[in-house]
Amino acid sequence: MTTYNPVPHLPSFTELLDLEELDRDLYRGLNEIPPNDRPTLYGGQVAAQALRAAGLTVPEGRYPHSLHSYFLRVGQRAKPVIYKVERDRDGGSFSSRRVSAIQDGEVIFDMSASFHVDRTGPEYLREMRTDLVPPDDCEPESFNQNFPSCEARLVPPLRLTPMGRHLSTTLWVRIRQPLPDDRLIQGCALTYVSDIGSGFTGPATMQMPIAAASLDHAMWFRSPVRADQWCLLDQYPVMAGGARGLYGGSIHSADGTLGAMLSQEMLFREGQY
Amino acid sequence: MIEFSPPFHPSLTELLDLEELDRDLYRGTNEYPDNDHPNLYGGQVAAQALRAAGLTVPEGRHAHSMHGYFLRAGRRARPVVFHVQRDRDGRSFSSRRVSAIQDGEVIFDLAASFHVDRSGAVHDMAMRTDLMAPEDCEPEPFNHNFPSCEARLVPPLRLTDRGDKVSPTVWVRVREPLPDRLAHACALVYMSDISSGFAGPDTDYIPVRAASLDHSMWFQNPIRADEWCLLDMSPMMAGGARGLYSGAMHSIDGTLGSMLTQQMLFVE
Repeated sequence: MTTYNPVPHLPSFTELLDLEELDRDLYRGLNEIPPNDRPTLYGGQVAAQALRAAGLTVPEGRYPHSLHSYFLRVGQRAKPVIYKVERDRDGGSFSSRRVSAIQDGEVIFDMSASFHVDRTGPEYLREMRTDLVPPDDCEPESFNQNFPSCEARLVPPLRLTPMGRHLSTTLWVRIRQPLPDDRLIQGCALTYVSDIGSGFTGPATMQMPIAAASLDHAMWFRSPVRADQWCLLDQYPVMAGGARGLYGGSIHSADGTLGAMLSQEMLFREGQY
Repeated sequence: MIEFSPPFHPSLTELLDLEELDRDLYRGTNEYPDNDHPNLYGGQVAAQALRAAGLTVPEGRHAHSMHGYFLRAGRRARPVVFHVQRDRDGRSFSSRRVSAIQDGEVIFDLAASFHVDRSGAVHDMAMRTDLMAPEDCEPEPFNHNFPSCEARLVPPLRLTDRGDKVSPTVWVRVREPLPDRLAHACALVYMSDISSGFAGPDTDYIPVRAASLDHSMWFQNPIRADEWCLLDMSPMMAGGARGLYSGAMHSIDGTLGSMLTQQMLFVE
């Protein structure tokens, strides 16, 4: 069985998405080992690789338009993740896939994703906020080492944690390496960056705990935007109760094109940051 | 093989009383209103799928979220078989996947999660209070498609090209009393597939024909689905012939029962 030398290694984001095909509909991915030696996998990496695995089995000309997923178990950085794809349906214009991400024979993450041909129809969108400090003037995200393929900057207003760290619900994010002009890869990259931060770290929810684990994650893709250029990840609280919190968010390119909307439910935990 | 024919009007409790064919394998009955509409209402299948998942979960764990994809049109004439996979039973969460099957093909697939009751910080979306009472609102014109519940349109109403009245805000309740907390959650699911967030004044376009693509729900407080609940929806984005909307379900006293999102396909 493959194990990784725990020496910090940063495969490029395209290497992370360059899954090894073990058999038809069965893939294996590399893990990034971040400089802080965190032993558990960043959820955005697994979600991005799972979407990539699903997309590799889909007919040409169909692009991801939605995904729904659950984080079921903690992933270990020291072992590669296996992605098993089930082909639920190939219809006239949609393809549906389910992906199980597996370590040690157990499902750590499962995803359903849907792919659609390009169509035209009625348009509706909410505008991106425009009153934002540009990325070059924003400070780095405090936990950026956990998701090293991406550069994340905090957009003010910032919230100060008891341990003196800054947080924000609004971030500038971009993948550090240039990405090919490939819509599946760009969709996977948006998925990777979409698990950063939370909608509960803003001034409107000061009573909320900061420590949390992702429970589920859904995305709906709209226009193709380039994730290797600055994108705005803007998140907001929806509801909380029962030790869980649900938030929503959007990802726009810097020029205001809506790339995706997202929702995530998380489990609040005890702990200081 | 069992065949249903119209008119057939089981109660929602009967719809949720799934027959256990084997461990983790269930079969449901269908409602079949006499309206020449041979396709299953998505809310019925989603509610039954959540019921099937919940039947396999340890006591004291309650549905807190579900994500479903509508993959093929279901037919009212044939029963649906629900196959449950037990993804995980942890210390406080249980995760299930359910495939709803007709003719050997998956028509709907669901992932659902169940959690023990915990306390924690609360953030609520308040219910609108400027609403006409259910008794004064007129019936939803498509209510015959989902006969187990009663639906009333909250003004302002809009007219479709065909002259049907629509609203993104609807009073809903199940017609018969329900037995347990899981059944109430399933009933919220049943009612949550009514109407759309694109039926209101925020958008120029009213989808006369649309198909549900995906449907997600997150449950907060247990509320009674056999008493009036407010289903209030709003658009999030549209493009590429698809539209995404979100919604909230409150009890009439303003307790938040669940939030939802749905993506739909606009059909020409």
